[in-house]
Amino acid sequence: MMVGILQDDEEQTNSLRRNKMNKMMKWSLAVACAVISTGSVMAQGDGGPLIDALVKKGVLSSQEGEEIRADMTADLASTPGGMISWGSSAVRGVRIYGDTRFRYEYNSIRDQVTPPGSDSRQTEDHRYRYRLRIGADYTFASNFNAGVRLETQADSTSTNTDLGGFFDKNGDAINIGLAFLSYANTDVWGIFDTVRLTAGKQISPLYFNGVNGFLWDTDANPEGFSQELGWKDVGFDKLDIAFRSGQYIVSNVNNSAVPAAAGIGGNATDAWMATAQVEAKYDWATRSGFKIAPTFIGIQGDETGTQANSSVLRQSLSNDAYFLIPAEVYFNVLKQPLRLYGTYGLNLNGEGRNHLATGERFNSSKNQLFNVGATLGNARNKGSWDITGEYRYVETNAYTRNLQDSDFNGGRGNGHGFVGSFGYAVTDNVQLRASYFHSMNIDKTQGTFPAPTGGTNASIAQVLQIDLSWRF
Amino acid sequence: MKKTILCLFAVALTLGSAQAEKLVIKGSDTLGAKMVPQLAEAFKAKNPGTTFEIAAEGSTTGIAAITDGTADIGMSSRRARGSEVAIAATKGVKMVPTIVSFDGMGIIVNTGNSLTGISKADVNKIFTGDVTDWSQVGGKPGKISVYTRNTASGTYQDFKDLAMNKRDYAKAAQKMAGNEQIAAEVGKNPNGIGYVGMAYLKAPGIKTLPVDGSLPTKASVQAKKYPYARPNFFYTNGAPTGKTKEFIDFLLGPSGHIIVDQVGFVPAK
Repeated sequence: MMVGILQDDEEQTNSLRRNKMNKMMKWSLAVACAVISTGSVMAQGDGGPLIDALVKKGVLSSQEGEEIRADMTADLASTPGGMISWGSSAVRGVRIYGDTRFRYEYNSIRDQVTPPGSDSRQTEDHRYRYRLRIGADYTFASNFNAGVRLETQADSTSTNTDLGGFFDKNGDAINIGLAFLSYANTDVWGIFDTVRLTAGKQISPLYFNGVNGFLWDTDANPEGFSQELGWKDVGFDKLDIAFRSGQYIVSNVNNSAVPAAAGIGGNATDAWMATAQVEAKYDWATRSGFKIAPTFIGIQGDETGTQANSSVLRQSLSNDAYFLIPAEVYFNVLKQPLRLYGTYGLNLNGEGRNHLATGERFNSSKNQLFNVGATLGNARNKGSWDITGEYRYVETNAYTRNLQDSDFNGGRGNGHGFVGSFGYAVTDNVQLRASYFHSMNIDKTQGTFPAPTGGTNASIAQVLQIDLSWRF
Repeated sequence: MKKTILCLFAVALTLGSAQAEKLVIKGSDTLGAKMVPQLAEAFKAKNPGTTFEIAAEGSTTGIAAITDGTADIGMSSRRARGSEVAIAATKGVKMVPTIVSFDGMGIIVNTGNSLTGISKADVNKIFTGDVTDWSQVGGKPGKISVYTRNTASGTYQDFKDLAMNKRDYAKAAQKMAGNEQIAAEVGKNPNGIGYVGMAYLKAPGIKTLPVDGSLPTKASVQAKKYPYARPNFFYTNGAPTGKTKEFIDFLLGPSGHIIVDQVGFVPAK
C-alpha cells in the first residue's frame, strides 16, 4: 500500500515535471522565434504571423499564443519606439531621416566694375556654416504617402546658415522644407506602368545633371502639383519612358490687398511655373545605358514690375520659357561607375528679357546655356569615393537665378567656368567633400545678371567648400 | 446580547457587500448584444448577489474603459492595438487578454442575390470599391450596396485586416452601428452585401456566401480554415480576480460553453 502511494506520488511528480517542461519549451520556442524575427515584431508590434503559425501547428494553444502576444506588445510599448502613438491609425509606416553638414567656405570675388589696378578689385571672405534637415515620410493605406522636412535657412536655393554670434541662435531658425501628399501606384488602368501624383511643397521630380543639380538647385523645392507617368520596356526591353509635369505657384501676390506705399499700382497678377519633361532611358547592360530628357519650363511672370513679394525672389520674374535637354551616358570603368553628362538649353524669351533688363533691343539675345561633365565613382558606402569635373556656360538671359545652382557664379547669368568636386565616404553615414567653383564673365563688358544688390558684381568668382556631413 | 448585535451587524455587512457586487462590462457589440447578456443571466441565476452593467458600443470603447478604469471587463472582438497598450501602460494598466470565444465573419447578401459563392479576391474588391456592380463578380447587373460596421467596432478593423489587405473601405460603404443593423439592411436590399458574426447569420432575408468554398461553421472556425475567423476577447487590468474571474471561469466552463454555442459562437477550448 505504502509502495503504491509512493509510486502514485512519483508518477504525479513526473507528470507535473513533464507539464512544466512542456510549457517552458513552448514559451522558450515562442520567445526565441520572436527574437529571431525582431524586425517583423517591431513592424507588427505583436509578432503576429509567427505566433499564428505556432498556434496553427498546435505548438501553442490559442490562449498561450494570446498571452505571449500581449506580453510582447506590452514590452514593445515600453520601448521608446513603441511609445510613439501616431495620430491616425491609417499610418502604416513611418521613416524618420535627416542629415547635418558643417561647411567651411572660401569666397573670392573680383569686381567687374572697378578699374584694373584698384585695391578694391578683390574681395574675400571665409564662411563657417552648417545645415540641418530632419524629415519624416508617412506611408498610408491605399497607395498614399506624405512627407514633411524641416530645414535650416529660408532661402529657396540653400539650406545653410552661418555659425558665429558667440554661440547665439540667431539664424538657426527651422523652416518648412517639404510638406506634401503623394499617390503612387503601378499598373494603372492597364495603361501606365507607374503613376505618381504629388501635391504640396515637394522635391522636384525633374531629371537634371551636374554638381548641385546645376539647372534645378537641389535645395529648391517647388510648391504646387506634380505628375509622373511611366512606361517600362517600350518597344524594346529596358527602354523606359517617363513623362513628368508640374504646375507651381512662384509669386502669390493676390493673397492680400497690395499697399500703395509699396509702389504697386493696379491689379497684381500671380505668377506660375509649368514644367514638362519626357525622359527616355535605355540600359544596354547592368548599370550601363543612357538617358535623355527634353524639358520645358515656362514661367508666366509679371513684367510690369509689380511683384509685391519680389524681395523674397532671387531674381525678378519675367515671362520666360526655357527649353533644356539634359542627357547622360553611364557605364563602369575599372569597376567604378562613370557618368558622362551634359545639358543644352535656351531661353525662348531671352530677347525679350534682354530688352527688359538692358534696353539692348538689337543686341544678341544672350539666351543659351550648356554644361558638360564627368563623374567617376559614387561616395555612398564606407571607403567609396567620387570625383567630378564639369564645365558650365550660362549667358546673361539664358536662365533664372531662382532655380540655378547658387554656388556657381552666384546662380547668375553671364558666367562660364569650371566646377570640381571630390567626395569620400568615411563610413556609410559620414562623408567628406571638397568642391571648387570658378566662374568668369562671358561678356566682359557686363557684370553678372542679375547684378547683386549692394554687393560686388563679379568678373571672376571662386568658391571653395569643405564639407563634413552625416546622414541619420 | 453584544454577541448577537455583532453577528447581526456582520450579516448585514455581508449582505450589503453581496448586493453591491456589480460587474461592469463594456465594449464589443458582437459580444455584448447577445452572448454576454445571456451568460450574465445564467451567472446571476447561480450567483444571486451579482448584478451586471453591460454597454455594447464597440470594441474600442471596451479597451478604453479598461484603460480608464470604468469597467471590470472590456469586451473586444479584436486585439488591443500597440498604441492602446502603450497608453494603458502610462496609466499603470496592464492589458491582459482572455480568449472567450471564436467567431467567423460571414459574408451575407440578400436571398434574392444570384451568387452562390464568392472568392476572397472579389470580397476585397467589393469592400474596397474596386468593383461596384454585381455583374463584375458574376452576378446580375446592379449597383452594389456595401454595409460595414462603424469605426469604433473591432469587427470593422478585423475585416480590413483579414479580408481587405488593410486597405480602406469603399467611399460609398454605409457604416452601421451593429451586426443586427447590417443584417436588417442587407435583408431589405437586393443589392446589399455586408459581414456579420456567426450569431447573426440566421436573420431573415439574408444568405451566407461561402468564401472560396468555405462557410463560417463551428468546424471550419475551430480548424482555422475559414479565412475570416478570429478570436474574441475579454480584457482585464491584470489577471482577472474575484467576481470577474468567477464570471470568466463560468464562461469558459461547461455551462458557459453551452450558452456560447447556442448563441452562435465557437467556444474557446
